Amino acid sequence: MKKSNPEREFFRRRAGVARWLNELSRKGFSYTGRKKSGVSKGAGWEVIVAPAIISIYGFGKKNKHYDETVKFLEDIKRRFLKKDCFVDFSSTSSITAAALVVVYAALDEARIKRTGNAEVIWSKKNQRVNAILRANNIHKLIRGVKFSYALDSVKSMPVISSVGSEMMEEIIDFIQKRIYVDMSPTTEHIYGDAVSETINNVRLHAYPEASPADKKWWLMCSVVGKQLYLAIYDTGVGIPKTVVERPWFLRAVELTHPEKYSDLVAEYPEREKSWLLALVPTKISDEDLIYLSMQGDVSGTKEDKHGQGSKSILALVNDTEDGVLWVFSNSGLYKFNQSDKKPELYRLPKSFPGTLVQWNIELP
Amino acid sequence: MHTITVVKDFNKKPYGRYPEDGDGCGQYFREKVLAPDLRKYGKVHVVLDGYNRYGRSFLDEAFGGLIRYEGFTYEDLKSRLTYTHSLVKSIELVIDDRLEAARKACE
Repeated sequence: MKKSNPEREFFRRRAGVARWLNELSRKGFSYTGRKKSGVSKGAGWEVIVAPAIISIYGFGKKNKHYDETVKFLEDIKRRFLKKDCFVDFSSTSSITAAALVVVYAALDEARIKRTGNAEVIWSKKNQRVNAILRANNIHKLIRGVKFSYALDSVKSMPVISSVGSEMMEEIIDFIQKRIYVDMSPTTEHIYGDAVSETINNVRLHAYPEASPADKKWWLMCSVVGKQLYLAIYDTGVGIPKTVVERPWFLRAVELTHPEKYSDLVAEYPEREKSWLLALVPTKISDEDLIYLSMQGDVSGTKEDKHGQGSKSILALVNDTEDGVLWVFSNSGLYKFNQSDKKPELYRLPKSFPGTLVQWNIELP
Repeated sequence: MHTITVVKDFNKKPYGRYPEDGDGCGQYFREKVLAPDLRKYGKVHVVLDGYNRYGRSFLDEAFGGLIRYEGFTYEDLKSRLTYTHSLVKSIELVIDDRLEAARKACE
């Protein structure tokens, strides 16, 4: 007869007792085969389904992440809280930082003046997605739970929503003290200048008709390895719609796109300047218009004192090794790599709601 | 020489261009502090130390605005106005650039 190990016997007996106690406690219950979510799926609740990969980077023939993410944003805008609803992340296996801030803003805006109830359905694909949603208060936003946080007491920065220069100093403080070990005064100036000019652009240009309290922006700051991802987003009219109003704009088009400018003037010789400005988008794509806005005043007249923000925005990647700047706005994407100093321009397959300025910065 | 220390004589955290941006905006600094002192004193020195996060808009409105709105000439300012930031020299370069831009815009 095989001699049993006393220790093994002890655990075997203890497991048996646990099974028996569990059996007693469940007497009268039926086994459903699936744990209840704790969410009452009332009749008539809508389900807004998040895509498998929430990202705004991938687009083209092989990659539909951008299209699917923008469709998700449109769904949120159209359906969130109009009726009671679930926001279903159960199939989501990945969410990028930049897309997160856009999703956050879509939920934040859609919940205004809507009275429905909402609940989150967590990812069954990846617990990391759930951790990201929790860390950024997405579940609270969906449920309509009020929350607050102080940046001096958090380990990682959640998505922040603000107006004007509120929170700006706290954000730079966070980057300076929590992310950089020893930030030089010059680096502090570059961050302060880039962030302040970007949020200043939101107030000046993004929402032409809105009151100051409604000129919202959202910011996310995330560190992955040695990379800092910083993004500022607004849901305004977009750069292509505002750049045409700059005093230097037509002259800049004439200098940078002489053929298109000649076509325009030849086509409408009698038209006044304001007409030509209105017709520019028929000749020049959104990505080219973003490119023009990033050049600022190229006419040499220096008429527009407001064309300075782009210099501050670019400075943050110009002064950091391997920095990348992304500007998504309407149907255009401008990408600038510090390494090759050459902007890349892309036409987006679907219009992007607002403007997102994102910096990828390699930390020292 | 008269000295203005921005963080002591104006605002601890200057930000923005216009009054809509708050009490620490460039327009207020120019209108309430810098331009009056330039009219009152022969030479003015602006100390920018104590704050490292000056935005380009603030600096443009405060310094470039002296030429665009207050009637000072570039040459006059070059002979009577000095400014320093002991830790961030690029702030001084931005002011140089904005004064130059304002000169071009007004000539």
